[in-house]
Amino acid sequence: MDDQKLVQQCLNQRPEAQKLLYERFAGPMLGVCYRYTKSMTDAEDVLQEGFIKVFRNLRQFRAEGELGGWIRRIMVTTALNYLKKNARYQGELAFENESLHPVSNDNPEVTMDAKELAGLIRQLPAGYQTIFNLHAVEGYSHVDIGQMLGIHEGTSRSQYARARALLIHWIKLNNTDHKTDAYARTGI
Amino acid sequence: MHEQEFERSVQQKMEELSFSPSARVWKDVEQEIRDRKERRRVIFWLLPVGLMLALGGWWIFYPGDANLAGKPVSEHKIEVNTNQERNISGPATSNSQQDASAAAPRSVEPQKENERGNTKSGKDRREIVNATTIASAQKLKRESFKNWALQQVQTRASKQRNSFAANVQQPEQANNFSGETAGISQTAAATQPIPINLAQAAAKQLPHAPGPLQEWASTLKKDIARSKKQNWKWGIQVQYGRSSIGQGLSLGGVTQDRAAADPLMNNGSGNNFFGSVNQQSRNSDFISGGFTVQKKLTGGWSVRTGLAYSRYGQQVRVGEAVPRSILPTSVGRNEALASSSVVYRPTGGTGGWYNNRYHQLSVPVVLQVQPSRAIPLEIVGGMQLGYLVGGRELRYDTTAKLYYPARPEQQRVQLSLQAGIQYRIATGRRYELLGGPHLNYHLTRLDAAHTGRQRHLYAYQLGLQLRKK
Repeated sequence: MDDQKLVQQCLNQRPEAQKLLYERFAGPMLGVCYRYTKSMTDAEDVLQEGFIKVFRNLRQFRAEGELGGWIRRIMVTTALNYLKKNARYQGELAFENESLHPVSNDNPEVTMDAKELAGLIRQLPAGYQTIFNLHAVEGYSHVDIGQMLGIHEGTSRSQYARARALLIHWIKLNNTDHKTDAYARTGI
Repeated sequence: MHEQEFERSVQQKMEELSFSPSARVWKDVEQEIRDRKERRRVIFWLLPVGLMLALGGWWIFYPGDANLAGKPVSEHKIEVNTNQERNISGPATSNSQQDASAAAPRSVEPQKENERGNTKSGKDRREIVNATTIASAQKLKRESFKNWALQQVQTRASKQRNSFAANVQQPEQANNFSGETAGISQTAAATQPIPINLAQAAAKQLPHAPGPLQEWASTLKKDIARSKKQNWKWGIQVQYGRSSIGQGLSLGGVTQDRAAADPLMNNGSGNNFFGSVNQQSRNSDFISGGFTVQKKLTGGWSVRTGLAYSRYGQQVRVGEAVPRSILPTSVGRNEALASSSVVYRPTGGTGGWYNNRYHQLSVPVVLQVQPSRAIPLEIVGGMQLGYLVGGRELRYDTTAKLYYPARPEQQRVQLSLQAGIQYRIATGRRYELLGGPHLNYHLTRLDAAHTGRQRHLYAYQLGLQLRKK
């Protein structure tokens, strides 16, 4: 069943279509929620809230765009709201107007798998993690991020640069560990 | 463009990221979607149900025409009971074909008698027939419940007897028990009430088997346990609006022939006239205040009660104030007029307005539902039990041709419908402020039965509620 037909059936309140839509998108969307939160429970909470919004606002979905992209935007917005509301993330989300941190030209090879990389992103402080996700993965500009989070564009740039530097450092460490392990295994 | 390359590789990796959510996520999502559908359905039905309740209430509290209203209550009871006995006694006690055929014409008889006599109005007859039908239905319901209960006791008794007889160590106990249950069977067969002590003894000895009553009780128990977890939250409420009286206006109980007596009748002024009693009137202020306590139930529902004071009003055209010195001697017969501090003379649809006032203390019991979690809007509907603690209204003395204020002759206990919507205007850490329009309509008529008047208070108002979150 194509997306448009699926949406139509969901709008007609067909339970099997609603379940099908959920099953089709729940996995990747949980991946999105996972990147923005610090625990799987939080990620599932965001996923749940997000899907409730999806079903409530399905009438607003325009067939011109991709259904997956539309659901993803809802998930990202829901995740941001969740972070703002949740006391556990409050402290880490206090974006300070930091001085501009230059973006390094370092460009390590990302050899680790998706889950490992997501694990590293989640170890970033919540503020860095959010901005890194929004810019590097979602592709939002710093101007957009500034508007979304209510911060200055420069703050977003600066925090992104720091997040990127930290992540690259961890990736390099990880790569070295892997190489060491590989050498150890081959006996060189 | 190293940065872009790094971001691209991260983006690619993240596209692959996928997890299987736990089963509870879909369960909760599904529950929420279904709840919303249920709430929509409830709202869809709330309006017609409210309307039917109002009509039903009106039907119950509307006493019919003056002849019927004037009759003592005991007379109605006698008529209803006679019909009821005739209707019910035939088919319920007779088993033979002859009895059954004899019962059918008997049940129609009272209606025919009424038609032949033709002494009652159509409404009287309708009320009697309705009362008879309701009474018959209630009796049949009671009978069927009694039969079901007897059946349950018999089944359990027989089960117990069988198992008891199979395992019995002391035969005399089994015999005793059999004797008891045989007693129950015989009693049931004769459709006589079971002796209470026997039934209690049997019920104590028998194991509990699930029946419709037990299931219902268990569901109720669970619901109560769930709602017990939620605490009652207090609040305060104030309302301001307009109020008036429906179906006729106040002219006092001095005369029955108001059309001939009231000088404001048919004066051609073009002002507000309505109903059969054409006195000019208009809405007056309505104020209300009190405290509320409310408890959250499941699925966006909550129940609210509390205590409220309300002041209803209605303005009536009064003419001009007259000095007491010009009161005619005939006034002495009307003590209320004679002792009145101020009197008014009709001036043909001109002059000032007098505020009729009615003070009420009430206990509302209303249900509130928030149809959508996203919109902080609640729909409120329920009943209010009130007591009219006092008031004053303008009456007309046909002999003296003067208006005078007096204490109204009221039905003190008032049942009213309450409906409205309220929107969450502001919310703090511990409190929230809600406001919106409300409507009250009194199902009970305002005036005492002997006055023969059909007037009902109503008010529409804006309310503010400050309550604990």
